This record gives sequence, structure tokens and C-alpha cells, in this order.
Amino acid sequence: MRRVLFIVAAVVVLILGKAAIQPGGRLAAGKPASNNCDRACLNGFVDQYMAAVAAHDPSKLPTAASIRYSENNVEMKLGEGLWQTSDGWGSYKVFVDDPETGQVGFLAVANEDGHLSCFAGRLKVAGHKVTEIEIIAARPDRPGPAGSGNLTGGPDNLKDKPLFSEDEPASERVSRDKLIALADGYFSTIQLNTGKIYTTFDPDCQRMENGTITANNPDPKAGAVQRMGCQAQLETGMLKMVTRCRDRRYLVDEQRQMVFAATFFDHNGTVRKNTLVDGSVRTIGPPFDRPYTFLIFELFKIKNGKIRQIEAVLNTVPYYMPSPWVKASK
Amino acid sequence: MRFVRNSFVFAAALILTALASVSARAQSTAPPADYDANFNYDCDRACLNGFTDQALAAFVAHDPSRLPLAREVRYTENGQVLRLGDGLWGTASAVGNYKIYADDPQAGQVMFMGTLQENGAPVILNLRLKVELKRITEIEAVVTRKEAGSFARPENLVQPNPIFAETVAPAERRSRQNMIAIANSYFNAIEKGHASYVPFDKDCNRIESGVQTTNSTPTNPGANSNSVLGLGCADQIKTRNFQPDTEIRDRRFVVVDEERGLVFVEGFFDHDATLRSYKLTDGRTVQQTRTAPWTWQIAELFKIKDGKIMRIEALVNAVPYGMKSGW
Repeated sequence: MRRVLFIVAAVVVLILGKAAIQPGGRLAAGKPASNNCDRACLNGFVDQYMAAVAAHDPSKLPTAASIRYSENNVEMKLGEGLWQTSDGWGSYKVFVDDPETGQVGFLAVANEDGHLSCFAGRLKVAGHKVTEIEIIAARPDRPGPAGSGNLTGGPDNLKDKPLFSEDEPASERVSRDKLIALADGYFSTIQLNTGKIYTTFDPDCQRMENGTITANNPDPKAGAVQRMGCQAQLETGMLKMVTRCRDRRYLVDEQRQMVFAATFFDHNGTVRKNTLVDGSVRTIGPPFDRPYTFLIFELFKIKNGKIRQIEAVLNTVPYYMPSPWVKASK
Repeated sequence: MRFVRNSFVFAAALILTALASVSARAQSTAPPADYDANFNYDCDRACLNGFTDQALAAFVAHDPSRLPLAREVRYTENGQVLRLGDGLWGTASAVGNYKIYADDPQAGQVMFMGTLQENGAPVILNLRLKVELKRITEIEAVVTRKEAGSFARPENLVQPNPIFAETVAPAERRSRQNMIAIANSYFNAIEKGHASYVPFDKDCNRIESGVQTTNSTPTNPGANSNSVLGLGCADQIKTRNFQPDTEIRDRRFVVVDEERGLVFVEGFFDHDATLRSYKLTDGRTVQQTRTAPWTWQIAELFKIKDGKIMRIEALVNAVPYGMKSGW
């Protein structure tokens, strides 16, 4: 009976996962903003935001009266959290601009009294005022399950990648919906990972998470899994313990063929054994033997309709924590 | 013949008594759907603790359906609303030996603080149940694990201090509101950095997540080099060592056990991390090592006797800064 229930639950999870890509799959609830805020305008708001944070002064940022702010998945007043503790920023900065929805995603390095954090944020702009700010700061002292230390490469490893600032030739671009489908397919591939691939990877695809290269790592001293390519890794079925990639939201930079995604990876802690595609059986140990969730901003660079580079900032949050940006997150 | 008849009556009475006993036991966990004037709807200490033990067994069996649940049950784990059966329900593997209960029959609530195995790894569990009409309506679990950002030492929790199970003599009891006021004064004192209004017993001690954090020697496992850990409950606060605690938020005084002098509180310690260094009353300067905002979710039990705090036992869990309780 339990087995049947599990299968039913797994199917339900898959269905729910698929449902997430339906029309609600745009970042931020509500209508697209009616804006005349282009790429330079959006990036300017990011620069103003960063300057305002460094100055501990939200009034330096043009905000709407209805401004909402969340930090590490907790909604709080503008001026709290990093606004009070910031000591400026590192030089690393990546923009993903989506003028159509008035949103910009960005990666940076936050500094709090010399303690650096991998940082990712999202702004929404309407009527030339910021209406939404959502940030993740993966701080060095963040809580996390024992054994998850492999995701702590750190901000020192974040170097500018020309790839992220390259426009793609019009002839090599794919549509907005296709870009979302590629990123969403990546999450569907990971969720209860069976080895089946629901997206398209470039053979040179590389993934970095919190400053650690976790796929296609060229360092011969890196672990065997980290040296594997993006697709090869997921074809093994080794990530079955990610029981749900939940509440996926996307903003899209069509010109640069980039997608900036928000999601949660839930690990319910019950997947204790995993039979890989090659028939080998792995015992799942810490940190995946207990319920926990990753809060994630994940950037995808797509070239010729294939995922070429992935860069994520993630934090551990209590298992199944809902997003303040997703209605009826449950 | 009369003897036979009497024996028959006696045997029948025994059977009826036995049946009644079975019925009473069944009644304690299976209230009737419709109002029954003969049903005992009250849930005393033994009844509440029985619900707790059933819940612990159900966690380990991964099966909430074996519990007498109300139609609407709310379950949270570390502040998040979860489906019954998710989270710890899927990973709890054995109940430990360390068990502290606090019972509040008036409010229909019971608190459990103890140890548990989760897929073989020791964790500390705080569990709160609300029982109405002998069915469970609320389950609130806070689990703390050995992990980055946590100082939990579940292996230190071997035998609870017997004081938590001791009945307080009627003359040494205080009213419910008075007990709440005493516990509340502790949090106010930490926020304000003075302890003069907190009625601590001179021998007061505190354990947090398995670590003794008062009157502790530097070699105590889990203790850091912060020298105020060697001080008692009152003296520690008087040093103004708790200045980084900017707010003790969303305090809920959910269980008051008047008979045993226990008050159980859930809440959050927020630290906005704006204080980079601070001075203690003895002149020492403490450099704050944490430079980013952080929050402890806390579940804290106070033993109060004759109006004095004798002992504090708490569970401390690292959560995202500013996180809400789910209640």
C-alpha cells in the first residue's frame, strides 16, 4: 500500500511540476509591467539599488509606495536585513534583462564587514519606480545540513564570464517560450531524476553553484561527479533525491538568450537508495537523509537553443518553505 | 443452584467491567461523532501525554493516520505548514530516551522536548499538540539537527533533570498569568540587558539544544570561548552580553503547567547584526563574529518554583532572518 501511495505521490509531484510551467511561469505575479524601461534603464536601477544598499538608505532608490522586499525568502521592510549590514559590493556583476516584463535579474558579491556572499537578486520596475526586490545572499555562516559543504566554493571563484554579456545573433536565437521551456526542462530533468533528459544541453555546458563548478569542472583534482558534463551527470539518474523542483518562475533576456529562474529544490529525505541508470545502487546519506530545501536563483545562458552555462546562488531554508512571491505556494 | 446463579452474575459482572474498561480505553482515543453525555471529553495530564506518545510512535511508523485526528489538522515543522506525512513523518526512525513533558489540560495543550533518531542520526525534537474533544487539532514540531549554523548536541541529552517532572507544592505555585509574566521577564531582560526584575533562583541553570550555557566550564562540549558561559542565569544577563539580540519576537506562551510549575514559550531571537562590537559591564570589548543578520527559532521551557526560575531548557534552531512561525 505504501509503495502504491509513493508511486501515486511521485506521479502527483510530476504533474504538479509540469503544471508549474503553465502560464504562471513568469517571474512575479500579476500583469506585465507597462514600461519604457530598456536594458540600460533596468541595469541603472540595479546600480541604484546597490548604491542605496551600500549607503543603508532605501530613499536613494526610486520605489513605488507598494514596494515589496524579500531577503532569503522572508518578506521584510525595506531597510532591514542587508540594508543595515552592507559594506558595499564586489566587482562581479551579471545582468539578465527582461524589458518586456520590466524585470532584471542580477548576480553580484555582497560584502558584510569583509564577509563576502554569493548574491542574486531580482528587481521589478513599473512607471520608473521599483515595485519588487527579491534577493538571496548565500552568506558564509548560513545554516545548512551537515555534508552540504560541497556547495561552498565561495564568491572568490566568481570571475566575469564574457559569455554572460554577449548578445546572440538574431539567426541563432530561440523564442521566449522556448527559452523558458529549456530552463524548465532542466528542472524537470532533476526532479526525481530518472536519467531522462527534458532539455537540450550544449556539450560544453558547465554549471557553477555558489562559486563551485559542479558540472564540467576542468580541474583534474575536482571530484569525479563535478568533472562530468551537465547532461552526462543527469543521465545517470543520480539526483533522484531532489523530490521536487517547486514554484518555478522565470524572467527572460531574449537578446542575450538568458533565463533567470527562481525555484526551490525540496528533498523530503525518504529517498535512501537509488538505482542508477547503469544498474548500480547507491545508498543516499547525508545531507539527503533528512528533509531540507534549497532556495535558488539560477541563471541559464543558451546558445543555439542549447544550455551552455548555468550559474546558481542557493541557500538552505526550512523544508518546504513557501515563497512570499507565489500565491498559494502549497 | 443459588450459588451457580450468583457465580453466573459475578462472572457476567466481571465481563461487563472488562468491557467497560475496554470501552473507556477506546473512548479516550475515539470520541463519538455525535454528542454523548456519557463520554468523558476532558483530557488530563495522562491523556495529553498519551496523545504525545501516540504521536511520537506515529512519526516513527511514518503513519499519521493511526492518530485520533480532528477533521482539520494543522501541522508545521520548523515553522512551515506541511502535509501530514511529509517532512519528519518520512524520516523519523526511533524515539529516544530523553523525554520532558509539560501539560496544560485547561488549554488542551501538551509540550514534549526530547530526542529522536532520524534515519539513524540523533536530533532534538520539540513537539506541541493541541487536543480538542479528544482529537488532535494542531501539531507543531521544531526539529534541530547537527548541521552548519547549529550548535545542537543531541548526544548530550541522556537523562532529563528530574525537576521537570516534580509537582510543585500548592503553597509554592503561582497563577497562570504570574508564571507567564515571570517567563516573559526573562526575554525582556535579554532584550534590555538588565536582570534585576527577573526572579532567578540562585542555582538557575540553562540547557540549549543539549548544551549547558550557564555555569559551564570551557571544556563543555559545544561551548565556545565566550567566557560568560561560566556565569549563572542572572549574572550572564547583567554583563550585557546579549546586546546582539535585537528583538525576541512573536513570543507565544502556549503551555502553562501550573501543577509542575512549567511554562513553555515559542518565539524567535532576531539579531540584525548592526552591532560589530560591544562592551560588557566589566569593561571587556567583544568583537561580534557574525556580521550578517540571523534568527534563532526557539522553544523554551521554564521551571518555576515559589515564583523563581529554577531551570530553563531550550531548543534553538537556525532559520532565515525574520522568518515567521506559521502560527
